[in-house]
Amino acid sequence: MDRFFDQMKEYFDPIPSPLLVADRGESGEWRAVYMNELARHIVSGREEEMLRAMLPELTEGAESWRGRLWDIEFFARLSPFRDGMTLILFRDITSDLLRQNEQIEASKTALQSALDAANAANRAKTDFLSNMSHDIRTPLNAIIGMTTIAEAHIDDRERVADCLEKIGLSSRHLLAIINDILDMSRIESGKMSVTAESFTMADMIHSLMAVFIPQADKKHQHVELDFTGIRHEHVRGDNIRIQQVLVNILSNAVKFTADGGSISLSVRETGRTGKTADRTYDYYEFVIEDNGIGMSQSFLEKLFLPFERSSSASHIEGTGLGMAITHNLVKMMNGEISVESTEGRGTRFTVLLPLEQLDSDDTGLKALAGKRVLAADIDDASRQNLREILEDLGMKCDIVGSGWEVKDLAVRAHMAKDEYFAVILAWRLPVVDGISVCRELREIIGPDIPIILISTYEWTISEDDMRKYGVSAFVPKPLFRSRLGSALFPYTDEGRAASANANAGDSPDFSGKNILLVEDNEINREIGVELIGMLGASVECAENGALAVEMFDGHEPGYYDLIFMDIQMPVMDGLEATRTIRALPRSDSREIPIVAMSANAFVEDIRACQRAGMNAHVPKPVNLQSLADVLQRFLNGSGAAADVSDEY
Amino acid sequence: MKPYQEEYLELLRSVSKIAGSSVDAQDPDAFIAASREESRARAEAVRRGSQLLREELFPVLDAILSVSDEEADSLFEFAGKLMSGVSQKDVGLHYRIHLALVSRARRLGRRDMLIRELYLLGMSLYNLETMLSPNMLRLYTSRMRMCFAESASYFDTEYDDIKDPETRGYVHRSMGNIALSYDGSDISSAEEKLAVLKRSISILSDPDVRAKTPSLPWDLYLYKSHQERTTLLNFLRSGRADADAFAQVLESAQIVQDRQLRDMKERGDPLQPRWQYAYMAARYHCGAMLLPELLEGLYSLSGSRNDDDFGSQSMFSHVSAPALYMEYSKHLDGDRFDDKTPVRIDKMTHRMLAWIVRAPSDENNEALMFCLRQFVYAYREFPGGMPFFELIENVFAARHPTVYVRMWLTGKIAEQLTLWAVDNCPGKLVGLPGCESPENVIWHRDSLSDFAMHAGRLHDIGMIHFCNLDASACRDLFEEEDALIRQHAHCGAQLLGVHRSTKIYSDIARGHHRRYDENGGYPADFTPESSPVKAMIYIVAAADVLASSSEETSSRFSPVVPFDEACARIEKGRGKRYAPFVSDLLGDAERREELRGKLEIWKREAYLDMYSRRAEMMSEQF
Repeated sequence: MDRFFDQMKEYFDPIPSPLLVADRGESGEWRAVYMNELARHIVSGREEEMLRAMLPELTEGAESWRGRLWDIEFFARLSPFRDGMTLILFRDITSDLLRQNEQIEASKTALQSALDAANAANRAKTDFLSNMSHDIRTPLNAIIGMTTIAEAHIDDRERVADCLEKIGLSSRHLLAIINDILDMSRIESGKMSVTAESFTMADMIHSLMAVFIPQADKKHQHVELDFTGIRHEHVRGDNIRIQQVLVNILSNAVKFTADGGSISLSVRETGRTGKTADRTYDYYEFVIEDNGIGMSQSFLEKLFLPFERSSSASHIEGTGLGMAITHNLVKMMNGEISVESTEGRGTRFTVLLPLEQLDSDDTGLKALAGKRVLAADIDDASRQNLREILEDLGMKCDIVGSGWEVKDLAVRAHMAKDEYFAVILAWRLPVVDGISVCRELREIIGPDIPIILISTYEWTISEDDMRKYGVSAFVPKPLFRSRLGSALFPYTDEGRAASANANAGDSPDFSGKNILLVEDNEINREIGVELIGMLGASVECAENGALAVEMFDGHEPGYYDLIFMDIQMPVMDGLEATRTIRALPRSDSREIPIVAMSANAFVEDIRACQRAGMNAHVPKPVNLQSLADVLQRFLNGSGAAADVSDEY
Repeated sequence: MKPYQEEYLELLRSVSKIAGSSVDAQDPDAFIAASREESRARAEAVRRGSQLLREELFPVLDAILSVSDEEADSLFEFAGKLMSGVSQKDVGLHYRIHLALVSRARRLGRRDMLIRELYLLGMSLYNLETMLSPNMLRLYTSRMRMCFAESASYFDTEYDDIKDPETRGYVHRSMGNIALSYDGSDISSAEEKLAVLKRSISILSDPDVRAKTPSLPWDLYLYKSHQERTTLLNFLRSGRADADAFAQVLESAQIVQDRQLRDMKERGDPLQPRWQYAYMAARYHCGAMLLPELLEGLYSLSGSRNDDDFGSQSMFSHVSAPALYMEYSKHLDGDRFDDKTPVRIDKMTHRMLAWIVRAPSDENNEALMFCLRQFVYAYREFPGGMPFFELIENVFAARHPTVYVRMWLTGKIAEQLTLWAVDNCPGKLVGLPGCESPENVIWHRDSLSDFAMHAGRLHDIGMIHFCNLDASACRDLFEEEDALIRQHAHCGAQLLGVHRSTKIYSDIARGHHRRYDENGGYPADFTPESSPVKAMIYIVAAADVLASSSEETSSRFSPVVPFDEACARIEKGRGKRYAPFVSDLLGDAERREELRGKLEIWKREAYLDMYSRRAEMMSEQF
């Protein structure tokens, strides 16, 4: 029997209910012959007591028993088992009930929390809707109202213009509200995703400034920018979303800061790093600070919740979604956002974003090291910024605050024959602007020294005008190492050499190549010689096919690199000449590229050229590009023939 | 004009009369005879036209830099007639002549002539590219833009030095036409187009500029620019247009609308369907009309013209309005259909087919094919309705019966080759849908034969872009046309690829001109070997050449290849152009003879099928 239960153990032990097998002994008393692990755990040592409690049911062969033992309510199911034994599966109803009650309570609490949350969200949404219905209705009513007024005064130009201006303003406001709502709904429904693309901080910040600076200018706010903490400009991240975050915060700063107030933006690398399976990230810190109206502590707690607006902001346009969107976007990018604010004093937002730093090839900028630069900018902060960048490039610099000083230093250097490598001028300088200084400087230092103009403001003069004033290049502010370095580099010896090489690569050079041009028309011949000559190759001419064959055969193999062949010619046409050349017993007769030049541009004619052994066809009238393409293909490239399939 | 030019224009006129004459035949036999005559006459015209150009025109073009002004003027006049003096245009030749004249003007430093020729060359390129419309392929866009932009650039440089008012007109027309090179299909293209038109409109509206040359038709130029700007109405609904774009496009739509209404009123005509649509579209795109209302409007426009009226407005009503209805209805319900849409599409499709099968082959032919392409590209298949393959076959039977017959024959040959392959080398067909093993191939014999039949009949539907080019010209093809026609493989694949009933045939259309060894043919970026239907691509490629043995269905694109020569080609191209198993199937002399005999029977069957299809389309019950 023991062996039997040893075997059954494998099956009984895993049963998730307490199980006991009872047998009537020779004395007629019930005893437990086997208990699974759960049963042992509950009744071990007390099994006789349990069997006694259910004795009447056991004796009667009842199907179940229910009773209370050791303050526990039990329920057992009794089943006949082999050899007169009974299999008892029992349950601790008390624990079950307790557990159930606990579960019910827990569910109730969870449900209540969910309900509370839903109610809160609903309340917020209801509040939002009631705010929104106001916010949407206001501009809409303005649009409708102004339209009615305009219609009523259609002949009053001034009145109509005034109405139209207001309609325009209201429409733009309405569009902004709707855009915010759509953005929030995209985030909430998980439809907004983050992408990783490479970009430079310089480009990102310049496009950010294009939006921000005009807004701040409108309110005559003072803007301070500090990007000196950026050592690695080339990064990978979601450029668009980062800009969206910063625009939201900066726009709020403009909105909640009084006219003439101050706003600052600084970006720096924190030195903190993060890691995923295949990438390492460096955290960049963006700090935006203003001296605006600030926020109360209670509002700060709800700042990033959707649909919440500060009561003190009731007079300010907006949906109250901007900060919730910003918060979500930062989270989506695995970043952090925090805010400190004091009512009446101002606000400071700090955004930490992980960005992957990419290698940037600025080896060329090493050529700038040791070079001496003369620079001028309007205020201390800008001068300091400029100095840090130039010194970081390894350059020596004299930085001054006015055009007069620039002129003075430049004259001295010129007299001492110790010229500066370059001059950098801010467009805005006291008394005399940078462009005027530049014109005067050219009179002194001549045309060779580069003068770089820097400015926050949109560059509106054309390249021609720029040259007219003597400006060599323009670099937009805020200044970045990469951009300023790239503007200066072309004037170094290395830069000049690189530029010459690049130009050499742009226009193909076939010098050393010898071309045979077969053409009966004198003008076409002249033009052919001129165009091929412009590409650097030397040209010999034949007036008909027979002469071409003679010239080709009269020179050693390899003498000609390519033949351009007209088709219709006196004495011997191009097709015949090609066939003859191809049949010559010479090592190069089959290899030399022969290219048809013909006005016969039917596909059938082109196929005839190919059948005669020509490699390609250039339709007449020829131009420099078509000739360059052919020479490139056959003298520098694969020389692969075009597909000649005649099927449609 | 020179005698050869007169003769060439006469040839063009005669070819346009030949086109489609066979459809008037009363029975299949008469049709076969008439088609054969038509083919021969066209081939003769092509031979004579090519000869004239080779002997007379090409030598002039060859020496274009040294020809006299008188000769150049005659070329200019001839080119003008190619686009307007005949019912069938010759865009390719127009392009060739103006290309030469541009070089001449440039070389001789004739500024005014260069401005004019650049404009005309740009227009040639535009007309060439229109053949691909509404497909988004762009072969000539950048060259077209360069021509117009160079001509327009004289406004900024030497405008005041130009004394000839006509030349100044070309400068302004070029400036406006730069917009033609932007289709507005994406945001940057739409923005560029808006910017170009904004500048053009601002210059054309400038009283100081107008005062310099009062004789120019300024209002017409201005109106044309506004018309072009209304093509950006779609962009407004893209969700990417800003308020400035809205203002510009809607302003133009309003101006165009006002002018149309005024003209209609002056003539005492009702507003034409095309302009009724433009008005509705403008209202819809600016948010003043809802999509269901626009669809209702389009549906009522589709039935607004008499079925016996074959004018251009009736063409809009019968073909374009339904196409627009289908295109817009996609925005309403995506892949699902409401109750109305399928019933309406079905009704409009049948009405369209009944109209096009009776529409004459006249000067509206080119425009009709353009509208038909719009319809075919916009078509929406739905359960229980006309499947796409039925639609496209009906269109070919209605407008280009010989192409239909040829594709039908290709289908029958492909079917026969497939049956032979199933019986002799089933392993070669493994991989086709449902055929994981040779046993499966044998089991699916009937389905595979159906599959092959449809594959053959659909493989060339991309030719819907070029049928007119083939039917109307009387010369060999130029390089540019060759490059265009090769796009039929891509266009066909694209058309088949979007419909559930034809998706499976897409690769067959794409790959039937690619060599088996992938060492040539086109498109070069397609690898049949990687396609799940590769075996059928190889079979259809061979069936295509075998179907060329019929003289009456031959054309410039598919010249007659006698049956024995076609078989010899397939045998010779074994493992190169053609798949070895296909060459091997035709290597058997008995099978070849069987096929030869069947071809004659199938040819008759094809005509009978085409006839009954046309009769069905024309019948009132259809």
